[in-house]
Amino acid sequence: MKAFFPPASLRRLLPEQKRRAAPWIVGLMTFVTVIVGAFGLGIIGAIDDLRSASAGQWSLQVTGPAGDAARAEALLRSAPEVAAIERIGEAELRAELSRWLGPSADSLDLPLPVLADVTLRAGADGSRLAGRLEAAVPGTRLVPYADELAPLLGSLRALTLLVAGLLLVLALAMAAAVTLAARSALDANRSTLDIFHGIGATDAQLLTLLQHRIAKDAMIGGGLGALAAAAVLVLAALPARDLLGPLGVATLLRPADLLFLLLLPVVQALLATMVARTTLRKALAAIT
Amino acid sequence: MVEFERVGLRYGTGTEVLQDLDFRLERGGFYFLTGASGAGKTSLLKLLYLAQRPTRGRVRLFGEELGEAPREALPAFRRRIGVVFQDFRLVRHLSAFDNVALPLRIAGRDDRAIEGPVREMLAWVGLADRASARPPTLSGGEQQRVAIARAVIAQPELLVADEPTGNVDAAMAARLISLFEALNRLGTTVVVATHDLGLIAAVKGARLMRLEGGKLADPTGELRHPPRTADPLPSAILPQSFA
Repeated sequence: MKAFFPPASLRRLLPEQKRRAAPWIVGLMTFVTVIVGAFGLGIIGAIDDLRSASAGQWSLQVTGPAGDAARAEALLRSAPEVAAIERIGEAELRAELSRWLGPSADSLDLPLPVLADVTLRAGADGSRLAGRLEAAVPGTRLVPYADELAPLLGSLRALTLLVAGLLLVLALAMAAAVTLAARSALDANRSTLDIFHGIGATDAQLLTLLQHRIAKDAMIGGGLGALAAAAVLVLAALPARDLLGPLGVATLLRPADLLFLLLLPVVQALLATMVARTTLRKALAAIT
Repeated sequence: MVEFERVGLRYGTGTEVLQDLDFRLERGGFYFLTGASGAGKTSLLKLLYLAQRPTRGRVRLFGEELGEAPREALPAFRRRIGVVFQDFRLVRHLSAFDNVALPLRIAGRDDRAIEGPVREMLAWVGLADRASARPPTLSGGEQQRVAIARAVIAQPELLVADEPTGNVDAAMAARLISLFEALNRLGTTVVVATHDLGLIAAVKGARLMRLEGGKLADPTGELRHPPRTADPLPSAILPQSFA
């Protein structure tokens, strides 16, 4: 720890610079990283929720005569695999269709299929049941919700990869910014460091002085960036929940997600310090 | 103590500023280095205080071959050398006290072990009341005295000084030279680059090295026992039995 927190008598050997860019750079990067990270974790949570919500859920679709619907429902109610069956009301169907068709959805001439939500018992073989149903009542279909959600889940997974890529780019951008800040700190103190070298200071001693400053900047910037991101996330959480609520997706982050987000600024501060240390070590080695 | 064998130095791709230097500095010797401007005095001093490595030839320092010494070994050599730079090279944002304390801090001494010797050294160079002043507020002479105090505080085995009395009055110059002599009596090898003939004449027993066009012209002079000085010297430098 002494390498990161030298005593005050050594810390003051380098001048205090009042206007430093590093805390702002790290703060901004941390803010964006935490927001993007929260977005990614929210998507992962949504995928999990969608998958667990659709597990065991099937949809009965009957497009044939009204009698077919009754026979299909009766068959399903008597099947041991079925835990529950709930028909979707006509009003609800028309309300859903009106989002695409407008007032035409209320027309009595519009043929409506019969739809029902079917919940299977755990471990039940839905495909075999669907085969039996189709054989008994031709023209009816029993479709797993997961099939309906597959395109959406695929899109969400692609978004997750995009977020992971963004986090990687942000980490690289911060490493580049910290490298520049470290070089700038070295240049600003070059004459002083030359004097210290001449008196017998080792690279390790100079590294300690410089990296302490960058570690401090990273911690201050990271802390402020994380606080700002937390405030934005809290403000954004409620409307997001209202928006996604009808889809049955929990949008709040879980405790493990929050822990991950809390660790992000710490990881960033460590990354910044390590990058600075490597940059400075190389630069100091170039000095005679 | 110091051995140069056919040493040459060039900066970049330019011509050699030092050529074929062959000399040996004895432990405990007092040497003056003189020569016209541009003769290579400062370059030779840079080789002595390890700010430059020779481009050819062999340099032995404290009995070790420097050509083979890795870069990581240089700080340990430098801690055994005290340097008074011509331009002082004080750290502008540090007080006179902290500038003088630098070699001790870098050597790892704690604050309690630093306070006494630094105060005493500052008093000896006449800057006791300027301990908290920063270099930009000090006169040229005061800065020079701080630089000298910094160079000698850690009792170096080799003291290298580039025009160390250029900015002080005759009385202070005599006082500073007596400090160098005291260190020399304790075994420190002293090398002083100067144009001041009066200074050269003041140190009995010193050897003279003259550079001309990057070559050592005539390493001459008598090495005699220097006279004892009547000045009380700082105990930071002198052991109790001398003080």
